[in-house]
Amino acid sequence: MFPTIDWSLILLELLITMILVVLVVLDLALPKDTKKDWLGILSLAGLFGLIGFWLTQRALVGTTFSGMFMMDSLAWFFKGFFLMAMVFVIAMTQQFFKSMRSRKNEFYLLLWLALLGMCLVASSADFLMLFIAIEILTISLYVMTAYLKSDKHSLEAGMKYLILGALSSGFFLYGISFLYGTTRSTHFEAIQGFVSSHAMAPMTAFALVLIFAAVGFKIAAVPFHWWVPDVYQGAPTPVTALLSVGSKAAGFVVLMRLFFGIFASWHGQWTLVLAALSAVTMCYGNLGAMFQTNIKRLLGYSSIGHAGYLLMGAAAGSALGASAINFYLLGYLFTNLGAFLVIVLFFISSKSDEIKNYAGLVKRSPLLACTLLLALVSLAGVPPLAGFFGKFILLMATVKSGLLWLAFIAVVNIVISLYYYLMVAKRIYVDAPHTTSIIPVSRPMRLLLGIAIVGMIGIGIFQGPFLDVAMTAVKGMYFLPK
Amino acid sequence: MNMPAFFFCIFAAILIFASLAVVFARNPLYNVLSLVLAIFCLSSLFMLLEAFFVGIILLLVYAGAVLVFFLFVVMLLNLNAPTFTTTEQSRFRLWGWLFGLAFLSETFLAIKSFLAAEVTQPSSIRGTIETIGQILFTDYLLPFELTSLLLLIAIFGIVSLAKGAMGTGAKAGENQ
Repeated sequence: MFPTIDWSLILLELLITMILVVLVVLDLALPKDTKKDWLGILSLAGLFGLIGFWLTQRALVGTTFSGMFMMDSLAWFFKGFFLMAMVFVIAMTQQFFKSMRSRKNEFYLLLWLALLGMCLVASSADFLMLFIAIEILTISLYVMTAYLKSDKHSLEAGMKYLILGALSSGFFLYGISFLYGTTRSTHFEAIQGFVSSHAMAPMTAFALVLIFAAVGFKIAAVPFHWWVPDVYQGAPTPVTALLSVGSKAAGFVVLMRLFFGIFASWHGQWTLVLAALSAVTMCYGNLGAMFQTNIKRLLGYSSIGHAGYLLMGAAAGSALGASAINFYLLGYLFTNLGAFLVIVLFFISSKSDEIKNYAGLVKRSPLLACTLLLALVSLAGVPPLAGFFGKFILLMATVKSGLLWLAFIAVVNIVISLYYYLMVAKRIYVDAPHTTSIIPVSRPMRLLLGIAIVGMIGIGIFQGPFLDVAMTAVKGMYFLPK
Repeated sequence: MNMPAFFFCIFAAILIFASLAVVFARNPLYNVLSLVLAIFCLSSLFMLLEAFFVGIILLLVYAGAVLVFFLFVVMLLNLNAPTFTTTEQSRFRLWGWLFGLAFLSETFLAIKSFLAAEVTQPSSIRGTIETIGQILFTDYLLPFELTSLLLLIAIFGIVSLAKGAMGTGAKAGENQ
């Protein structure tokens, strides 16, 4: 039987694909020597249009394509998240590739494909579908990571990411096959039904471990984090930004679907494992970040640390924990992308990512210095910024679920992280600059930096509406009664 | 022992030895050739499970196309075994053995527990092209269509990474 298809559910993905096709045609049709960056401008315009359309999709719930594709509040939340992240990433790309005229266009196309992949990950309702969606995201990221062919580090990063990514895809497939072997289905709902009526068997536990390995690779959790520092440092900065926000969030959607959906009834078995992983991950990330001299590498380690904080929410296993993950990611979006935007703008004028070259940035560009300071302080979790309140509810959820020791480790880690974030801040504000040349910041970039600042402070001060959004996003999920 | 079980044992034994040879053979040429053999045995196992289509595809695509391509690369580029320093190698070896054994024992435990559970006969649906085609174009329509985008990414990737690679490197590529 041919399935009946409800096109309205999948309209956002269809629009993304249509824009992609238009951009492909334009890439071919535009004269080679055109000065204007048409693809970049159209990409941004398209994204704003899509965000407007996304707002109308809020109440949409349902499944289509024989249950392969589902739309619910969680998917809606994360699709908006990905669209907003992509606005920043595309703006960064426009700046970063200014000197490269001919190869820039393909980069936009790959970014759009990555966006499509992320949106599909959020909407997958079947493991087979999820696998294809994750591959669309990851394979386009492999290409983008190795994009700077003349740069040895970029090639090395691409190679590392490819090999470890392929390994994690292998784990994922192996896990799915074991799960299929026991439950005879790849569909989320069917597996959830099986899980709720059976005790955990070695076979399913093994499958869960394998699938978690693949998700852990995406969110950069220890012990699947080996690729992070090198890839973050070597990849073109817009890709690093996408990896640290978009790809990580995509991993967390899957994580939430696994632990707050499919495997929710085995809550008791995985809570401690997740809590232990969370503790190890945040310690590793924060201790590793202390000795870094490259800002992208530092943010790489800090991104491992943040994966650890976010895993606390999953370990808590409660509705509060799940909404804390969403809220934290929302703050992390503006904070981290603000930081990466500064890194891109700084790199264009000084061709360096070394922290020592950031000395005296405040005298060269007060706006860049201010944004970077706010971002670092928000990442560390200082009130009244977004990072503070996010950490606060994550800790609250952890304590409420009885994991007091985990909350304690997290607090120690937050103190450690203050050290290395403030060391960078000291370089920017206290140290004398090597050169006094002003770093030019164009008007659109100023606007975007402003949005990042408003996001960081706004989410930190007016938490209410954002917390509401984060909470409604997890309404459809399953939590265990206390 | 009935006929399928007999063939299963033969092919599975060859498969294990071929896979070990893939890892342990020194000469890259033998690595690839043993992989071809392994794929051939694997496809036979699929045939025994009545998954004819998967078996044929495995044979055609992997053994026929991908691995022959590998073979060409290995032969044309005259690759030698990668050189590690001894300390590096022994460190990798240790971790490799450790994780490998842990993984193997875990797999063994999982499969052992499964053997005790009820084992159902393969369903009456046969893995022919017809049935697979029908499932692909009905239930699995969306994932099937999305694989076309994966191919698109592969094309973009090859074009953008290989563009200008023949010249003097990236400079030539960027200024085209």
